[in-house]
Amino acid sequence: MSEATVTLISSDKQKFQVSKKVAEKSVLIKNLISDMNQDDDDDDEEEMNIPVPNVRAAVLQKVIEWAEHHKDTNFPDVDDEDTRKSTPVDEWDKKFLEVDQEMLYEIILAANYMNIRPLLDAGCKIVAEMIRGKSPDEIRKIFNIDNDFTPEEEAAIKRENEWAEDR
Amino acid sequence: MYSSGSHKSILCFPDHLLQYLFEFLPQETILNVILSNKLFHSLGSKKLYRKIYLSDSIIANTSEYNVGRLWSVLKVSKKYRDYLRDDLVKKTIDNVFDIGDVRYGEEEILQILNGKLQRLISTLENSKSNYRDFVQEIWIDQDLNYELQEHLIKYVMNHSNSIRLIHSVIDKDIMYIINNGNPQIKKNLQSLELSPEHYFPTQISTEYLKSLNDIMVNAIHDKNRQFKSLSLFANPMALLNCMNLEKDSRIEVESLTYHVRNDRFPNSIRQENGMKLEKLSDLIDPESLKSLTITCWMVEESQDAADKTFSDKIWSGFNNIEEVAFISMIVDERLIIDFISQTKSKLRRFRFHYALPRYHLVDSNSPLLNSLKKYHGNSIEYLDINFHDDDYEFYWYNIFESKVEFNNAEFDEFGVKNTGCFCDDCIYTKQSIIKEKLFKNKLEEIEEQEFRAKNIGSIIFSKGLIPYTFSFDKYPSFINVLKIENFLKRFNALHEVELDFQEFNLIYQTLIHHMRPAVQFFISSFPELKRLVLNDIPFMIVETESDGKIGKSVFSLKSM
Repeated sequence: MSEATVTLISSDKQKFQVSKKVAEKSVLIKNLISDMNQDDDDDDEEEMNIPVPNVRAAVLQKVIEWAEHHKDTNFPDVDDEDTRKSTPVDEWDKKFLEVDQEMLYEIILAANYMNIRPLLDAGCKIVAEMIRGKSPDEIRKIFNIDNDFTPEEEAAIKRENEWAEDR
Repeated sequence: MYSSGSHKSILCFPDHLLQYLFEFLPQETILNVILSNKLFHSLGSKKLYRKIYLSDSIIANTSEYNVGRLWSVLKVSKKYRDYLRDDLVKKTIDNVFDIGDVRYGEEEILQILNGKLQRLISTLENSKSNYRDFVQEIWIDQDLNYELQEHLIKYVMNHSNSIRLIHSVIDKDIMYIINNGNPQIKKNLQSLELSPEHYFPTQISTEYLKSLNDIMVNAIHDKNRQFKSLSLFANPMALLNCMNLEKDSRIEVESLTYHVRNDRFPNSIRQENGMKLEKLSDLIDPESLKSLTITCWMVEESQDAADKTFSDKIWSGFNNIEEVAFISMIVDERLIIDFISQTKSKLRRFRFHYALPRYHLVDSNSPLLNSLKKYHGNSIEYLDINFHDDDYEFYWYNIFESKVEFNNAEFDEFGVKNTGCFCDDCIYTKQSIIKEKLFKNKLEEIEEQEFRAKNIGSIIFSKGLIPYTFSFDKYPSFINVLKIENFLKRFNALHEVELDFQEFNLIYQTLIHHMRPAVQFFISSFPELKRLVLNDIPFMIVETESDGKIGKSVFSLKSM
């Protein structure tokens, strides 16, 4: 018996046929499949088309690549937030996420939208690593954000949080 | 690299996602994040203030499993610690033969940390950023200034809408402060901790017992409160049966902690309609309880009291317990085994931390390990167990691959194979550090006494040089400031050797490599095992392509 497949359709209308097991790494899609199966009374094996409207093809392709690789991985309990946040990024994930910043952000957004917690965590850990030990100025440069504090506001925040500083 | 079809910036993340991302940042980075931009300040501050762990020790860093980064702590700078260490080196006394536990620099460090605690309080009280409403969890410390901590808790209990858990309340004044907090704030509090009347066990006064009763009764009958944890300073049956709890009292808690102490109770204040507990499930909903921790204060004096905690089948009916922890206890092994065999749920976590009796590792005849394997072998994910001090001798001998003349066969009875480790690091460490530097190339000539005296593994454990934590995957692991540097200076002086910090760490890692057969024994005995702690040495169980499952040591000494 051939493996059940579904077709994911990106925001730019590209189609990706993947096994159901791979697609179900996304909790969003898993729930959609489950709902569609419940609604579908007859037993005919219809082709299942699932639009993923917030994710463009290049990003969806990467997400599928990740899900293919991890299709047999048993991730820690989703509910065990402390463990998820405390463990280092898997070596393969680290290499996989060596992409430009925009792609990295889009993968994180896609993982968030599609509810793929282990990919979301891996992406967040990579971004966290990018700014670890960086000064406020360096963080602004990395994220391309403006300093919207007045010098007085900045000094006040620094003073308020001195208790947590390493000095 | 990918060509981007969009120009996504991190600012297009929804707030909840940015906030989630900041959860992964260590404290020193979050401090810079909140200084970079107003949005980042408002979201990052929530992480900085959410979980505050007050402690006079420093968090042990590790890249393997860093639960410490979930908490915000008071810190002393490395620069200042280095200054204290250098000062210590200058003051080293030549005739020091005691390589004991000298906590040099403690006073200076406490002074700095109390100053930081004062600034934290001032910020919570005065900041327009309302940081007070981000504080959810506070861990109280015994060594930091208590008046300041009381002040902090009083402020939080009257002004923080976010507070949920206050841990380690062992002082009755803080317990009263919590109880007298603003009712609107108190209704959010999910922890209920009853403290002893005095630090040392004593006769409990009737007046104090009445106060405890009022606190307990009010908490139980406050329908707005949902509890997560209950902590008692005494055996619950002994304590609660002196009280005047009403018959319909019942409480749902996920975790119960109680301290075994030798306090003496006055005559019961229980009245006719007061509840007489036959078993603990009369008070605690057995469906709700998942975690049970029993911890002893005065280990030697409390053995009888410890044994009583298992008597009268008080645990019957608790069929959802997943975690049990026996901390610093001497207890009759048969009682623990009965408890393990009668627990109907599948235990996921078992901690037997600084508890006696101790076991020889890989002792297949250990009744405790056998019953754990038999009843919970397929569910145990976290195991913390102490092994016998003699086992360090075994591993120390094991490093020398049986080439030491006085290596003996006494360990054979435990069925442990003398399997050395031949990885590059171990080969280098054995030859260039242990044989050449520690034993000065005179290994074959030295007396057994000297050989034992230089057993680094045994010393590391007995002097508490490795990070300490109750549960390394739940709470930060701490080390005492300056301890290792201090110890090493004295060790070198005593043995007339010159080991530096890195070399000392390599010896420690070599010992850990030689513990591999024991670690593998646990991995094969408990197929779901994910974390293992052997005499305070934590291991992550990881899957490798070449060797299957192995235990990976979490800390190196140099990472502290």
